[in-house]
Amino acid sequence: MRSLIHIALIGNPNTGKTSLFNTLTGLNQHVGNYPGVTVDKKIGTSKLPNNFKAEIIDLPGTYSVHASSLDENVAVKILIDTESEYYPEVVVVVAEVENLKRNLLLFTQVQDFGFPTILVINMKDQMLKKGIQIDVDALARDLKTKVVLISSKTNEGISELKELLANYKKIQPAQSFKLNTNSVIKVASEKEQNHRDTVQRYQFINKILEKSYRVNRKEAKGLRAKLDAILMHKIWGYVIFFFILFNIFQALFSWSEYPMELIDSFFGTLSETVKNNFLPGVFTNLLAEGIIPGIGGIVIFIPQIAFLFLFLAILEETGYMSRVVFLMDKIMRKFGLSGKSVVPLISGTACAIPAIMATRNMESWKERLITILVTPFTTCAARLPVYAIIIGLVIPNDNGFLGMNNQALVLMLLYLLGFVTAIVAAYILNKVLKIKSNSHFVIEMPNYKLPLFKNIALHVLEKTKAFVFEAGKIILAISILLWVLASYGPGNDFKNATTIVTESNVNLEETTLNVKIASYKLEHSYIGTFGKLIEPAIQPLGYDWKMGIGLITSFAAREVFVGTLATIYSVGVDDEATLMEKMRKEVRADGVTPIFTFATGISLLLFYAFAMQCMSTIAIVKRETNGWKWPLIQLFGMTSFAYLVAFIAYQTLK
Amino acid sequence: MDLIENRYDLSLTRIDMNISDLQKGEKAIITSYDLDSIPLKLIEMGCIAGSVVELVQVAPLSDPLYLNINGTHLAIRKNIAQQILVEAVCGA
Amino acid sequence: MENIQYIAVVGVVFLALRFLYKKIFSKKKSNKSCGSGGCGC
Repeated sequence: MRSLIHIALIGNPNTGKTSLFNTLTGLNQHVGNYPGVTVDKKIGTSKLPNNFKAEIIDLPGTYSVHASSLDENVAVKILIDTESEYYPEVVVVVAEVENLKRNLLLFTQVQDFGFPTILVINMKDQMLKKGIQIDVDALARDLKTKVVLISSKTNEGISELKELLANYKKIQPAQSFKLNTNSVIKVASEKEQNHRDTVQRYQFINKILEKSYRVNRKEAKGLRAKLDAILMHKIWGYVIFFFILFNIFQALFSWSEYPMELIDSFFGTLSETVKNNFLPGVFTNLLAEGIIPGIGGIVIFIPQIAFLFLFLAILEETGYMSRVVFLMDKIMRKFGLSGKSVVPLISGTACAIPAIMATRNMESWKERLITILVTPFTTCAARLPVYAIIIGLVIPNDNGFLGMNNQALVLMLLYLLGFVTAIVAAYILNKVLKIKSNSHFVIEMPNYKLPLFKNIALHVLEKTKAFVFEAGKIILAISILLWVLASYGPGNDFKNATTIVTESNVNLEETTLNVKIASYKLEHSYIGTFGKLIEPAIQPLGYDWKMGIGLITSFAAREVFVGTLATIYSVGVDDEATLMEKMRKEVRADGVTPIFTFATGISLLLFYAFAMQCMSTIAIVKRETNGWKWPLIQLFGMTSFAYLVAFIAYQTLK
Repeated sequence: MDLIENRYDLSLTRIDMNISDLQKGEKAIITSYDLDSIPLKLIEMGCIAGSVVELVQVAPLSDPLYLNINGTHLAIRKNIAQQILVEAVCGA
Repeated sequence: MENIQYIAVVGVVFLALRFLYKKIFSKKKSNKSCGSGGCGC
């Protein structure tokens, strides 16, 4: 019979704590949600000697039990809540050889909680190079704990750690640090108390380390200083950054193209197969027309999102990202943002959902809120299919400005527009919002290091899962509802669709007939009726009710627009060329003027650039801002703005 | 007479000096700071009276400041750095 | 046969609706202690 030991891993960021977690748990880990808090919790299991099994919770990196951001607060809660299923039996504090002094602050704080505590000192492999010597036995004695030197890179010390963990009952909880409250200085406020506490702890730690820690000061300052000088150079620093960024986007586009095609045809075929081979009936229809395309619509973005997070993870793991934040902070602050807003803004070009989640490390609520509100302006992956088809329709495919293809040019401009709008919106929000802003910006500048593949892979997996499940569930649910609204309609026109269409189209081949029936049904369904209802409102923008239906279905996900148009214009699955031809030929009620003119196209592009249509994003904003106020402001603000711009565009260009 | 005056002037500038006054590569010792203006996190990362601080680099546009406080490499904004008073180290 | 399919559809749609309803009306407890100006309460 196996006993389950609950272990909590806690430690400063950049100590390789996550690396250790990965080493102990391998793939046996998953990410979940703390109830009521917007932080991800990482749980994993590990096999220990003597037939023990451990459930390990990897707490967010923190410098102290006094939280300065959402992440850090969570760590403490787990250590206090005895009712929690994760309440640990033993706590492992992860430190590392170079910053041991600072790491020990957290260690002494954790000891005060009364758990059996183990001190793990990571990066043993770096000791020789850095001229560091540690007297582990003296340290263990003075800190009244067990100390293990490990290297999560080479796996040194891991088995010793596992041995200790299996025998955790033998470890006595102890408090090595005792606060001296007999000082002359009066301490009134909580902050003063914390300060005095911290100062005394450091005095205690300094004394201990004097005995057990030696470092030869002629360290490898070399590489770090050299890299810092180039990467943060006042000109080259920026050039290098934008060069890297540019290449990331290039790679992103070209690498995801093929996987996306594969996924697209897979789901298309799956849908067809189900339709043709399952017992005919409403459920089969729901499956083939609602659920499978719904899931397909989510899965198809996984390549893009995974690749972007791969690049970002590499930049983060090497330590470069901190330098980018450093370079960009001053500029960003002019717009009410922070250097730390760079990651969310870049991530937003894949999907706003993981981007918004990445704002959790920002200390200033105002900067964080503004970042959350403007990130959706960046051109996310879902807008691309819409852009592609409209550009294909109304922009000539020849070379224009600077010999560049006009279509590619417009696409690039749309991307630029996304960024510029985000920045401008941030600027305005910064001036308008009356929220206290603080400058408690602190970012550690870690040592440069080569990223470990293991860590990168698990990081990417984590972020991609976040997208798939957070965005995915909502997209799927809405897809199902939209299917219902599109498959049923009021009145007899809908009920007798098949008869009506067949009668007026005698001698039509079966597949073409079926497509026509589908189109008729859609027109007379609930959605179709609603589309016709809003037509007067969208006519000034140059749209008709058919596009109106497309706008409504975009509430599930923006790219659904294209599939919807395909159905409306009676085009079969996977027939983009035909779709474009059909759309080109579409005329207005007068029977003569084409609908998809340049004016309408631009109007549509601008609408999709600015409107808040993604319900999944609304859900995340609600979660991260703890309420409906901001997501609703975002929804109405962005969509009204989109309406206005599209209106002006159409009216001036037509 | 001159000597005494000079020394007096020197100690005046030392008292008023804060982190943002440091030159690149210059080291100093932290003397005092206003608890309410600097984040607790900074203190916990080692910014306490008596710690050695070195200005490693300044960002283009002079903000933020890349510091080495007590062995920890970190960056903070100029307006916070200005709140932390230091005393120059003689002969680093 | 047809009835079973119909019931299945109603079931799925109901689940979708319930999921969305919960998303809209869930009251998450906000973190009270957010450190330096954390949560925008």
